Amino acid sequence: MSPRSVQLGIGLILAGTMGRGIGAAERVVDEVSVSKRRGVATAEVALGCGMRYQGHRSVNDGAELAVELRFTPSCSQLLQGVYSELYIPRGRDLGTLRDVEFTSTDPGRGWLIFRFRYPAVFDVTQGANSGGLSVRIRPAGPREDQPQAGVDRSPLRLNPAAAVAAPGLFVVQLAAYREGRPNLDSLAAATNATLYETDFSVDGEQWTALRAGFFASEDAARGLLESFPPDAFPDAFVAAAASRERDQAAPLEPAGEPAMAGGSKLHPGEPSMDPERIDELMVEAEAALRDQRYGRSIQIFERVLQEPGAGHRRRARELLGVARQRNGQSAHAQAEYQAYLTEFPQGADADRVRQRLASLAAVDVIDAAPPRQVGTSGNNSSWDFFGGLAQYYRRDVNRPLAEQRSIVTQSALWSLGEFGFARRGQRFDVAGRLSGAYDYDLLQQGQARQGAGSASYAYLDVTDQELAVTARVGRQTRYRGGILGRFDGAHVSYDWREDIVFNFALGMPVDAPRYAPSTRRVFYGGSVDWNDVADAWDFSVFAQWQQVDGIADREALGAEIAYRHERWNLVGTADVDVSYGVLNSALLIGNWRISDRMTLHGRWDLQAYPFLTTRNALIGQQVTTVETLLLSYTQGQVRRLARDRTAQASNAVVGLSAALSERWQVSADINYSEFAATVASGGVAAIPASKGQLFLATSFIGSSIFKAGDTTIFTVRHNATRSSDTSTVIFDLRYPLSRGLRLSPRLALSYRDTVTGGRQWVASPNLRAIYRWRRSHRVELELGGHWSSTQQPIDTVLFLYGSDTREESSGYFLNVGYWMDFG
Amino acid sequence: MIVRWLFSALLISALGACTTVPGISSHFDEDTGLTVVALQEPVVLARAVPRLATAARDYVYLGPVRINRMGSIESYIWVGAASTLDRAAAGEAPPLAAGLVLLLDGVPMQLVLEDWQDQIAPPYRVSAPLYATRRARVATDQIARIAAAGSIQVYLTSDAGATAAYAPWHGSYGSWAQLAQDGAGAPRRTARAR
Repeated sequence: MSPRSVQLGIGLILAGTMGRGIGAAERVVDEVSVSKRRGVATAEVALGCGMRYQGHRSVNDGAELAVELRFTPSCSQLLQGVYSELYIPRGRDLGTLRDVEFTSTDPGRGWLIFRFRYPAVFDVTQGANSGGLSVRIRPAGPREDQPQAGVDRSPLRLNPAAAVAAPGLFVVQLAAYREGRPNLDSLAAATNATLYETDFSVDGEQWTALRAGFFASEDAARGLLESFPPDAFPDAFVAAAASRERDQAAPLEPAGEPAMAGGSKLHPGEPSMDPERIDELMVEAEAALRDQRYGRSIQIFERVLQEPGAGHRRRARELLGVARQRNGQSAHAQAEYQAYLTEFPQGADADRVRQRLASLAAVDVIDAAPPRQVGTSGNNSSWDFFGGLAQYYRRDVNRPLAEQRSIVTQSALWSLGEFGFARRGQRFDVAGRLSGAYDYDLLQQGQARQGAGSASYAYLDVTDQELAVTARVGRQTRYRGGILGRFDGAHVSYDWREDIVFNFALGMPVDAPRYAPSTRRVFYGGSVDWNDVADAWDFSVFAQWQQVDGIADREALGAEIAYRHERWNLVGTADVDVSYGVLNSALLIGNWRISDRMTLHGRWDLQAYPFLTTRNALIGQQVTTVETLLLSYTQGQVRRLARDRTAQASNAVVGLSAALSERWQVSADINYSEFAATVASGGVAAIPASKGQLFLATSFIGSSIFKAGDTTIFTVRHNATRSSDTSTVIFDLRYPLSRGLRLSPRLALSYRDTVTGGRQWVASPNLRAIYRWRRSHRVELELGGHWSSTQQPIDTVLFLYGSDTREESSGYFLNVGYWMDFG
Repeated sequence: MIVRWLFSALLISALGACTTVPGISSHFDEDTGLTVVALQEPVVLARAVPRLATAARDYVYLGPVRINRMGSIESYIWVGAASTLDRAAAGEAPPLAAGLVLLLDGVPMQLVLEDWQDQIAPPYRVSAPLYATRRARVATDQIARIAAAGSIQVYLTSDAGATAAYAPWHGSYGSWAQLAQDGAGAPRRTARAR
């Protein structure tokens, strides 16, 4: 058995361990499932190939989460050029999650963008396995600008009709405050000015500005400002004012109340306003509520409620609660609704207020989606259905040598389908997902033509909110708690406390979706997660036992530790096989955001390669099961074979990303890796140590260089290994041709110099076109080719004399298809 | 003859075209008859939206402007909204806003935005592609406050009250004091200064 075939075997086993690669019709984001316990939602992301978590940032005021990922080598080979896809997660309502988008514009790295309906705060963790990560979504706390039912959360747009500062209109802004209006006694002298307040929201906080106006010149306004003692209003300044501000200013009396017509001292029970004035104020307050000037509407409703009489009080009390609710003052809103029900317990309006109160009591910020309006659509079901359908045709044609004919190496139609559902109940949440594919090989003729089906997911998920228990049964994927990926079985988690979760799992590992459930390998295990320790630490420990054909396959103990800080974070994991006494994986990842323009990241890992299980004994053998191997070897010998096939690999990466200007950014990585030798045994040759391998990559990433919205990437790579040095130059472009159409041309030129004196040039042009509409439909066409010229020196080729040999090969591929999501 | 030519050249340079003093540029717009006075560079702010690329961002350029309309002087903050993002693919619109809020040492200054008049050339040159230009009319006292502030946080606000925060990218507000001093009555360093 040659070292090369052993390496191939290792590769196959790794492919099985890592799950499927990214085919043209497959997806980077394999699955995002959201579950929620005790107010904290967790999104588990299963990735189609290995990616290492680098860091994350909350953007758009917490409405988006951007998770940076760096590809493992296997992923880098599969994901080249500019790439993006959209994923609509199952159970997304639990975390108010709209969708998840994966984008990759930089070589070797990508971003997972989580978009939420409402702002939240996030914790992102990843264990030793690079095939997945989890995002915990917690309430961001009350937000004054949080939208309510019916409020459009579309991106901000200018309202051209908005009032603008009127020429020659100035005011003095005396103070701005979130609560506690300053003493107005010192303003008694300002008899020639109108005192008024304006409300506005800044970064989620409600502010009120106390102003005095209006003046025809800045000098006049400054005159008023200078008439106050210097320390009376230290933050005061003269400001230009809008004409609408003058029209809508409600003058304050020195006591701070809105000045009312005929306003005198108020006495409870005695009307101080005539009904017409009350009606006017109600109109103004409701207009302020509609305009989202909640502070002003609250102020007027409170004033109106000082007036006796059921007619206006009924409506004012309810709308005061609404205004406070929309202003983010949940406790005040609840108090107002309760006061309403005390004062007006009967009637249809009371039922509506009870519904408002109930929804307010039940809803926390993370779950603040508007309550379903029973009866409004004729459908009061809380079932949520989703799915998707995709088909791709792939054709590969290769010409191994210039003088040979072209060979069609692949011609296949890939069909993928997915269906899922989720239902939220008072106590139980139920969800399910079925995801499968069918590959139809068109190369074979007639009856020999055949296809192959596969199932990526087939599970049922039940959550008991009362017991805080969640169970998932069926084919599923998980990457935490020592579980290595896809399996058929059950996973149960129990939230003992808000910060401590117990997990139990039992199942049969599945190498790839095409495999049926098999009892040859069985595992069981458990883990304990302790999160948010001192608001900075997460801990997890696990134990797992796995058998293959009746003997121990893996007996693992491990731990994961994560620490996060505003500008940096650290993640460390360890996985030890106690039966072999081998450190299967030790990993340390760090990210440091030096500034908004510069990020430094590093990673060090020490891993058994491939991941040590007794099944590694099959590498290089003619048999395909451990059971068969046990006919020739004892259990101890089989385990020895497994140990001999497993190398120790170490890898270290240091990288830097920095913005050079508004349009250009540079990214540079240095990667050093080393593989230890394996031992010859069982008829399988040893693999020598790799010595140090160095990978250098630098990318210049431009935005809006040729056209607004485009992305341009120049990349230079150099790989130095024991057998060769390879230098590569890559040009990538994503060009927005129209609103929905994107063209992505790519050209890679590579030069390889081997230790035997050989030289190879490879050119790989590629063009990808994607047309999207309605965000959930996509049509894709990709054409690519490669030409290579290899020159070998004469002393390495037998029977040829006189000159070096030159071989040329070429090939092209076509990939065309569509993708549709629904639900 | 030479003296007359020199005098004419001096007069033209004084009345029109582009004239500058250190840190300040003054431009007489012949079409509108306005003299637009601005600083040499705006302050640049950025907002990370790593949806499409790590290098892609939204940018906001802020710069003080004084417009002299036949002796009537008005002060503005010019707001250039730019983006290197490809939002069209996602079916989204860029973050235009109805208002600009500056937190000056923790004290908010709320400004209402209006369109920059198309007939007047933008007073500042920027690097990223602009998709909108706005302005907020201000008092010179407001410009002076901005120039003197120790820390400034910048937010664009929508009509609905939602906010988008921008972080400093390049430039400082300290030089704004030059226009504030002019507007507050100090000798104007405009074309007449030449």
